[in-house]
Amino acid sequence: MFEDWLAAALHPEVAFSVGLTVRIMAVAVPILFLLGVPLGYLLGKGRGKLVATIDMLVSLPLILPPMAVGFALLLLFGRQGPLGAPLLRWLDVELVFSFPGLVLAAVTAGIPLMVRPVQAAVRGDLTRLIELSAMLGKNGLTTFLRVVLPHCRRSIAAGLFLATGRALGEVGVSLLLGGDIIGRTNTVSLEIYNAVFSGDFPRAGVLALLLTAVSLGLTVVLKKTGKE
Amino acid sequence: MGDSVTLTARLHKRLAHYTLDVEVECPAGSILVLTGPSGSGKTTLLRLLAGLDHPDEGRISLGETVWLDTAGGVRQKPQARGIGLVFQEYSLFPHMTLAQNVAYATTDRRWAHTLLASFGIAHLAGSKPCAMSGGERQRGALCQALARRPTALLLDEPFSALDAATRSALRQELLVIRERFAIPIVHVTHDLAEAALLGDTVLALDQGRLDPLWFDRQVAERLDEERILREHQITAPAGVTALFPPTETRKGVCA
Repeated sequence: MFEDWLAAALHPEVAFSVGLTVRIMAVAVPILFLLGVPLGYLLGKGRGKLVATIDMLVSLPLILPPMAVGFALLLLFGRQGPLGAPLLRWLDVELVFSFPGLVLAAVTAGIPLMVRPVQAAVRGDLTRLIELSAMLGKNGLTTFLRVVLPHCRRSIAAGLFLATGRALGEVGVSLLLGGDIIGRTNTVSLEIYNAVFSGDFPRAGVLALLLTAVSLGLTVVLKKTGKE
Repeated sequence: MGDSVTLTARLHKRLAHYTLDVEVECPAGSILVLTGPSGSGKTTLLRLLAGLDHPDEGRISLGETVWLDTAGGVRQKPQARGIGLVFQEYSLFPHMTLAQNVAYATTDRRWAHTLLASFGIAHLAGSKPCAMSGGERQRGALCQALARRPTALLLDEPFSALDAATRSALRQELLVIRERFAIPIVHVTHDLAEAALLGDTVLALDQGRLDPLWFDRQVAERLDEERILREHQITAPAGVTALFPPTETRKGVCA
């Protein structure tokens, strides 16, 4: 039994999928931060139809089935898609069945959970503090960096942890955008599916335990951040 | 400083339930008190002066400097007006210490320390607002507002959440600020005694318009209430007495 699990842990696809997932997260988490914080701020402060439309679009990955979101992205970013074709032609970037596609899947899955806590924090007493900063002569950028970011740091941290957890466990969008190509786009979550499908339960168990441990770790950090 | 830095404003703004239509003037070194019932437009007027809200029509100037002129297309941002503003709450950044709060407004560290020392809160420089009392927080807010040597000072009920003793002390400190800084000060308050004590000019707003008789009416009503209470020897409202019966029988308490 122990030998089976040890052998499973040393399986080359385990190492590859873990390495790939770490690399995806190393790119996706900074993107989630850089995209999610300004977006949360905009949605929390903004008014009007455009803001309401962006708000709805951000919520879609939470509301729609992941397979449907993945299919929509596949159509959009495919070789012949309205966004995929220009990307390929002008920038020579192909998102489908590639590493960038997996990053896009992780960001798409995580963005609603990154944006919502920031949006809620911005809607609180922050308006008064932003006005105070303006009265003290500070411009928008200084106010954002020195007042908004520090004031919302717990919400930003909570958003990042939740979004990372969600992105780590992403299957549907990753499957359709990444294609689950062995040795190329098989993330940890997809590799669990592959292992179960091929009857290699110890390998699935090892990877599932790993994901569970990371998720529990994120939950503990999130709780501690909330208590501070 | 003299008449050349008088703050003058003529403002017109349609609000949900009435139209704000006022003309005010506050010379340097004087306190203009704005009072009136809740929702009468006092805070809106203050926000218009600060540049946080915009009127439909109007003109605001400080001496020769025009901050706003809707007819001439002039609209200076709050940052450019150089005004100090103190709110009733949220006047300090909660994630910064007191020293950091004041330093946010000025790079002159010696001036920042002088201000903290003159308000008697230099020992709290390393404390965050949550660890300070209400009076200390408002003193800190005044330090922060004064740190950038403001062109005018706007105060939106800054003492209303404080206890009577602290309120009294801060009123005296505001009179010292008036003398030392010699800038126009516009102070919003519900407190009639505070209005009478601090105001070189007291203006009452009601439904967005100046009501020259409102203050006198309120004082007369208050005096009338006190006379009735004295005549009937009432020491506490009947409802309060019923809820919390006194240990000793009071004389002349109305049922």
